[in-house]
Amino acid sequence: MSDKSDRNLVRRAKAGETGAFDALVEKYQHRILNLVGRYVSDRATRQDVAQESFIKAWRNIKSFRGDSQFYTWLFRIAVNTAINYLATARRRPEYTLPPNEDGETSMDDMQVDLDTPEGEVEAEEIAAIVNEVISELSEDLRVAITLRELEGMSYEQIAYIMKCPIGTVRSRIFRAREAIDERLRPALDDSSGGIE
Amino acid sequence: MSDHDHEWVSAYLDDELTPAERARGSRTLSRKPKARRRLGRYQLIGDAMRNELPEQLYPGFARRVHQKIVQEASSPPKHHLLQEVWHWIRHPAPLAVASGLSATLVAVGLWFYTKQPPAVPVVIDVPIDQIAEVPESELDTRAHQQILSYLAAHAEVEPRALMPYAQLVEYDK
Repeated sequence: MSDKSDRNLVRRAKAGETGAFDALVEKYQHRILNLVGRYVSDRATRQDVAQESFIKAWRNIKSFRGDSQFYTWLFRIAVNTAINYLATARRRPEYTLPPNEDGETSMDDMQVDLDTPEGEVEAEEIAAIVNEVISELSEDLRVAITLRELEGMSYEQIAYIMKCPIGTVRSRIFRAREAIDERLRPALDDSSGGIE
Repeated sequence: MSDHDHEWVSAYLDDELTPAERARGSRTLSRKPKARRRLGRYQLIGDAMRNELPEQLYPGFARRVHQKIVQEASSPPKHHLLQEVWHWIRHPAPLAVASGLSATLVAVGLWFYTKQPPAVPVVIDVPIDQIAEVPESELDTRAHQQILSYLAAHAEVEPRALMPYAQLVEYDK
């Protein structure tokens, strides 16, 4: 899926355009976070491992020959990074809490931030918004976006099924995405500002 | 720019642009952060529909990766080299094993070398009158010519040193 578009971005990233690589990060961040989450149980660490995966991909982008899809290559890097992290974590000696004045150890002594990290959004919340907006869409838009995202059909195939021109399919899918995006934006607002 | 102008982002994500449009789209994405974020959100919608989202989303994730990359781009090779050296210092076991193995191989090699009997030239004592004289017709005249041409070609190197050898060849003939 979207292999040709990725190739264009990879070519630009290889030439040193960080913006092109940023686009690939924007596109694949959730899938990589999801993948890393299957290996790393610690919520706070998942983000670091996923981040490290992308940085490794950037460092080695020139060695990516394009024999496979970019996502397949990135997937392999992320899996290796997660496995390496787990191996390192196993070697690391466990931290034992120093006893307090009463000779006991207490969780209060640990200077670890166990709160939800800043800017974290629950995926359930996002999925609920998406499903709600989809149910409110007109039938034409809902069918078009569903055939595209869930069935993976091309615009030509969707046009054949919906008995309409390809341009209409393109427009319907865009309008469906825009309607959902409009409701998502407040929830996904990165208060620290975007990449400018 | 109206939202309708971003229809190409949607088609770009679906790989439904012509090669020329795709090239233009890649250039725009590379330069316009807003277009990139829109692409990311469109992808997120599909991931959510397919139930492929992670438990948590981090809206500032792409920005943080970008900052790290820019940081690295400004000071790349030295940092990596130091990291490599530091890695070997922190984890000396593999280095020690490799060094030990190399030293052992060198020691074994030296031991074998010194145990070999010295090379002694083989001398066959044959009385001079028993050496069969090669008839002139059997001489390899072609080889002879080659030797002569070699001597002629390399005479500039050391003419005086070549003379005895040249004389010897002539003597055999």
